[in-house]
Amino acid sequence: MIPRYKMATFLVAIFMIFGLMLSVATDPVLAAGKYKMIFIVKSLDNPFWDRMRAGAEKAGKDLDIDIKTLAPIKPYNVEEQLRFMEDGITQKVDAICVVPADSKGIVPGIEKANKAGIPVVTPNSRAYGGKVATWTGAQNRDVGYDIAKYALGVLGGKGNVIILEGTPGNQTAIDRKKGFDDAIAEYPDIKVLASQTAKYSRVEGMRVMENLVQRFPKIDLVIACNDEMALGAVEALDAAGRLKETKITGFDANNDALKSISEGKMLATGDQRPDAQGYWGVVAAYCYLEGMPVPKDLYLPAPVIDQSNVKQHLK
Amino acid sequence: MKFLIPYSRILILLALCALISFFSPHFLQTSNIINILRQAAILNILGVGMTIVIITGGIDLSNGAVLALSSCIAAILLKDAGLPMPIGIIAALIIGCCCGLINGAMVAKVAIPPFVITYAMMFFTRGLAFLFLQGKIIYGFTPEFRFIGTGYLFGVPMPIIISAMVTIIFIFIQKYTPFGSEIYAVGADEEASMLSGIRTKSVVIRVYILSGILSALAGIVYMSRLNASEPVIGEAFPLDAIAAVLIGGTPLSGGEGGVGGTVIGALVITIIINAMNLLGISSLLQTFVLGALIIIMISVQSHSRRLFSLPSIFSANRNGAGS
Repeated sequence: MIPRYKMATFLVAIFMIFGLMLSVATDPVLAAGKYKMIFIVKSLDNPFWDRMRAGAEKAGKDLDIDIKTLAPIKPYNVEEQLRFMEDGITQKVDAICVVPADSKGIVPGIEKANKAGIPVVTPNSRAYGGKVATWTGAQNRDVGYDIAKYALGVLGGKGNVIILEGTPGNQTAIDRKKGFDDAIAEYPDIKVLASQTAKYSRVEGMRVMENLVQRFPKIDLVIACNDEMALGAVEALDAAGRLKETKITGFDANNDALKSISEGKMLATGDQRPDAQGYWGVVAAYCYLEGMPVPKDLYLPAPVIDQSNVKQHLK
Repeated sequence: MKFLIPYSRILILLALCALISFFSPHFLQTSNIINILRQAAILNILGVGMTIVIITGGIDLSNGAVLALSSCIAAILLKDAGLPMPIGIIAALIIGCCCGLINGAMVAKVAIPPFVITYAMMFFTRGLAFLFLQGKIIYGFTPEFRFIGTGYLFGVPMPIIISAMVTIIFIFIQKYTPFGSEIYAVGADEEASMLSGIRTKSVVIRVYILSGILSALAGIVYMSRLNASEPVIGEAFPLDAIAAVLIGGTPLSGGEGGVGGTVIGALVITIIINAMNLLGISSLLQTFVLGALIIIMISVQSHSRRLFSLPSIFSANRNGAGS
C-alpha cells in the first residue's frame, strides 16, 4: 500500500507537469520587438477570435511589435479581461488592444490604463467610457441590415421569419438585431414569428430551434446573430426534415458556415474580416505610439457572402 | 396525504405539464413530447452519474468538462485521423473512465473534498480540450456516427433509447446489486459502512468512474446530435445535472434518493426551457424564470421530504455525526 502522502505528492506532480506542458504549449515565446502590446479577445470558443488573433499577430510580425494574445477561460468574461488589463499595466506594456466582452464592464480597466498613460484600442466592440484611441471594426448594425435585406429580398419580401438573438446585453447582439429589425421594418408582409436568444452558441441554437419548430408549422427564414447559432438551427431543421423549406442566415463567416453555404444548407453570412479588425487595431495602436494622428472610428467594410461568392472565401 | 409522497415528484411533473398545456396548444403534441424527451436525454445521462455520486455524499463538477474533452478527442480521432467509429467511441469512454478514476482516487485515497478536486478537474479537462482543438470546431461527421444522435430505432430517437437504457441499468444496479446498497451505505455513514465490512474507498472510486464514463457517453451522443465538437460545450451541465438530481429528490447530504427521481428532474428542467421557447418568453427573462422555477421545485421537494419522511436510523446517525 502506497502511503497517502506519497500518493498525494505523486498526483500533484503529475498535475504540475501537465500544467507546465500546457503553459509551454500555449505561451508564444516573445522576441524583443520595438513595442510590447497585449491583445485581449472575448473568448476561444469561436473560430472568429482565432482569426482575429492571427490578424493581430501578423501585424505584430510586420511592424516588429511583441504581441501577446489573451482570452478569458470562461468565454465572454469581462472580469478576466480586466485582470489581463491590470496585469498588462503592471508589466508596463506600450499599448493594450481589448475587445470588450462587456462594453460597460470594461470601462474601469480602460480608465486605469488611461491613468498609467497606456493607449487603449478596442477592435470589434466598443467601450462605453474611458479614453479609447481608436475603435476598428464593421458596423454590426449595417452588416446585419445588409444580410437581412438580402435574405428578405430572396424571400420576395413575404414570409415568416424567426430571429435568433445573441447573448442578452451583449453590444454586438443588440446592434445586429437592430440591423435586422430595421430591414424587416421595410417589408410590411414579413411576419416575425419569434425573436429569442440562443446565446451565440450552436447547442443553444439547435435547442431553441427544435422547440420553435414545434410551434410554427411554416418558417421561411431564420436570421441568426452569428454563424454558430445558425449552424445549430441547420441541424435542428435538418432533423425535423424542414431544411429545404427554410432559409438560414448567419453572421461572421466561420469556415463551417461557409461550407454550409456552399452545400446550400445556409443562405448567407456576413464577413466582418476579424483578421483585418485585429490587424488594423494593432496598426492604429502603433500609429498612436509613433505620435501620428489616428481616427476615432475605423470602419471596415463587411461583404455579404452567399453561394455566388462563397468560393473566394472558402479556405 | 402520506400515500402521495412517493409520487410527489410525478405530481409536480404532471402539474407543470398541465399548466403549460393550458397556455400552449403545441406543448402536448406527440412531436413536441418526443422533442422534449430527446433534449432531456443528455441531461438525464449526466444526471444519473451525478445521482450516484451525490448519494455517496460527493459531487462531480467536472462532468461537463469531461464530456467536452472526451467528445473533442473522439472528434479528432474520427474526423482528423479518420479512424473507424468504434475506436473513437471507445477512446472517449476510456478518457471519461480515466478522469473519473482520478476524481475518485483523489477523493477516496488522498481525502481531497469532492467539490475541490472535481472543480479542479473541470478546469484541467476543459483546458486540455481547448489545447487539443486549438480554438477550432470540428464539424461534419459520417452518417453512421450521426445515427447515434439523430437516428431512429423502431420509431424512437436513439438518444432516448440510450438514455432509457442507462436509466434502467442504473435503477437495476441501485436496487438489486450489493454495489447499489453499498452506495447508499457509504453516503449515509461512511465509518459505519467501513466497520461493517464495505470497502468504502473502492465504492467511492467506482462511483466517480461511472460518472466519468456516463459523461463521455453523453458527450458522444451530444456531438453526434450537434454534428460538431467544440471545447466549450456543456459549461452549464454540472449545475443543470445537480438541479435535476435535487428536483428528483436526492439531497446533497447523500444516503438517500435515487436515479428514478433524477429522470423526472431532467424532464422538469427540459420542459421549462421548451415551454419558454413555445410561449415566446423574452430572452432577458428566460434565465431568471428557469432559476426561480428550480428554486420552487427544490423547496417543494425538500419540504415534503422533511414533513413526511419516516425517521431512519441512517439519517439520525448522520445528523449526529455531521454536527
